Amino acid sequence: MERTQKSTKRLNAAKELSRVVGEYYLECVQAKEEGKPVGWMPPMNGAIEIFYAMDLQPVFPENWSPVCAAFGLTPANFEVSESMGYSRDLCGYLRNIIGYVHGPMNQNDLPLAALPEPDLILSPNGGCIPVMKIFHALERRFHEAKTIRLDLPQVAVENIAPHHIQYAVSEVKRLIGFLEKETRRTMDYDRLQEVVSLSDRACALWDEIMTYRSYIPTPFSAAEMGIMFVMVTRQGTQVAVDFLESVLKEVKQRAAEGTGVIEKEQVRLFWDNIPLWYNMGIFNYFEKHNGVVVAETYSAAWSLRLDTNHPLEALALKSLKSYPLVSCVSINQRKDMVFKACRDYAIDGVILHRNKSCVPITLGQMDIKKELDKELGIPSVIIDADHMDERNFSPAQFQTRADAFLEMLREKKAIN
Amino acid sequence: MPNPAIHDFAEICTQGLRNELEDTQSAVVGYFCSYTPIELIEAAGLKPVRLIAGPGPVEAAYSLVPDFVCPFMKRNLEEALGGGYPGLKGIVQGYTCDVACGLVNIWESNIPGIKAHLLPLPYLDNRDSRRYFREELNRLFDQLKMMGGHARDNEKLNSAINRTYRIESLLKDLYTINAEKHLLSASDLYYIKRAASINRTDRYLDLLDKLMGDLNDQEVSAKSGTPLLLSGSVIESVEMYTAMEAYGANIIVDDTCSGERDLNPLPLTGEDPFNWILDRHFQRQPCPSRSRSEERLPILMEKIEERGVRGVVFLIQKFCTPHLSDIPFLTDALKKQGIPSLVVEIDEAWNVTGQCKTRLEGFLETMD
Repeated sequence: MERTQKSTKRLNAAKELSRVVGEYYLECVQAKEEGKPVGWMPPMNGAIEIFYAMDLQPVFPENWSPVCAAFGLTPANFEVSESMGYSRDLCGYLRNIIGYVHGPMNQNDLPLAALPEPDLILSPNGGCIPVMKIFHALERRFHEAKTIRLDLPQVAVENIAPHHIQYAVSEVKRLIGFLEKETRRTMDYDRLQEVVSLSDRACALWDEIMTYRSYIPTPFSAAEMGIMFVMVTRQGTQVAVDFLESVLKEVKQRAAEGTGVIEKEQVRLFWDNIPLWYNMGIFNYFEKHNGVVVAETYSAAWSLRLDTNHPLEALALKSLKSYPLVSCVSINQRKDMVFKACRDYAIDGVILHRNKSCVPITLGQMDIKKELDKELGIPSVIIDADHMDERNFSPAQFQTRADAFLEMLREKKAIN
Repeated sequence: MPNPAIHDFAEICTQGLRNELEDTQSAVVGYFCSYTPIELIEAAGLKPVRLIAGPGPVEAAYSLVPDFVCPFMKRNLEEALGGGYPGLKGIVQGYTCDVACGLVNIWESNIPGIKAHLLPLPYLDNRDSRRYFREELNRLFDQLKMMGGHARDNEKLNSAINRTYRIESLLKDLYTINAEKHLLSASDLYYIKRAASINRTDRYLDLLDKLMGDLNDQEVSAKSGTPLLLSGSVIESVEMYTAMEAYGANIIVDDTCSGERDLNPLPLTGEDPFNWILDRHFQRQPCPSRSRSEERLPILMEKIEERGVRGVVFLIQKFCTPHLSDIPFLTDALKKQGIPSLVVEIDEAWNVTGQCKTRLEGFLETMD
């Protein structure tokens, strides 16, 4: 196996996805050219719906990093940030985007379009530390952009109380006030409700799509995880709904026909932590053992149903829950989510990606590993790698571990 | 060997934590960093103690955490797993970094008898954030009850606040006076400061009062060495200070998580002691866990100018994201001001020989 490798995809939606991705980045550039305010923000919060409701252009520097990894741009970006003094021990998203905005951003020969410079920056006091530090660096780099600093209580999902929601709602309102002042646009709350409804519709579709992965054989694997692009960048738009409806149609049909990912699916796997964006082909590797990755933690975090009758509260709750659900803030909830997936998707084995670039998701994995064995009798394996920095991934070591794990699982299931 | 004048402080550092934990009458609650409102822990009838395990190996902890988290949190977990914190009733820690957050949850699941609480902190100071934080502090009392504490006692809270004010006023004066008179070494100061986070008692205050009186009576000492500002995360080894001074450094500003950065003496005013907790939280000196490097720079520059600092050493626990993220801006900004700096990353062994020694000596030589 190569250190960097694209995945083999089976869904026709993969082609449509390329169009959706291209159109999104083109839209970002066009927005800037047309004078529509462009705002850079972290993902996993309710700001995206507010932006779309106010006809502003959201841009997600964190999401740009997987794009850079997929197109092989990360080494150049790392070179810039590391030459500035950013340690290789820091998160790869941080080193990539800081390198990008201080280096290749202004080159003309990049794939897709380059990110447009921000007019607005939403700088978070919540989420993980690397994301917060990314935005500190972006504030410095784009000092002419109007910046708002937003608090968000970092509390385990099971401990969310009315005062957490009240504070998060007050921050959502403060954000709207900031945007109205800086862009001279007024929030249309009817439009916001429509956008939140679209966002909720996308989540409902996403959840339904995921249920078909419980079919044996599963109609698609983690190799198609790119479809979650719309859940990150297009929540609250008709684009996301249309795309997901088309994915659902295809997945439903494959499930009905019994069309799987490979000819003979024998081992069903779960993946914990962010994928290796530079090597999505890793998900195909298991296929030589007739193994398929049928579920993962990361994709589940982007779908949270919203109370469309109370848009502000819904967005506040979304902001409060999204990050804790997949991180060490709510290890117990995350464990429950993994356990539920293991049951729902008839999982035979779990792959825990010990991710050098993401401490918050990696912490708690050992607890989950122990409990999986103790409570469900499901074996798991640790894979040491990094979601952004290919230098922290050893294909040979991965292959040795993956082969041994799959052989053990096959033996356990008495597969010849 | 520590300076005889600070013998009692050194003894608290070496024996005090063990004594507190082994005292069956004493319900001890641990914390990792100064964002924890320890006055509330005291107001619930519990004893707050800052947990710093010190140098040593990490073995058992690797069954629960990856190697790429900071030595400070790994060593504390190792100590807890090895039974080094017997009798500890609980942990209260603010969400100051991702590792602190994760480790609070991991402690609760894996250390028998420990109740752990993560305090979700606000960072913006406004009416809504104050209202929110007040609720959160009330919720903390419920958690403290599960650690053996009782209901909020305002008299105790006022007393704890006044104690903090007295301790921090004296310590702040101590660092300032010592920067002028050079009577104590950086390791002496480390012992004095560390003892305050283990044993916040009348005895500690008496010791500190006496020491201050002695220092005020003494003449300025002609201390040699290059005046340095030490900045970084928690220092867990007093030998680090001793070694740096032996190589020719005069650590005249200690901007570390165990030094003078968190000293912010604030007197109690008004009827409601919660307002003091809120004011203190929002008026903290900016630290890397939530602040921008731009907010830290002017404070560092003020100290540099005030105390005649000639160079800055950033001593950082390996894998510490908040501190490492601030390094590029700060080193560049200092360079532009003509202040040389050196970044040293340290692992759990706190070994100051070999490459670390060579780099420190080389750095100091460039300023001779």
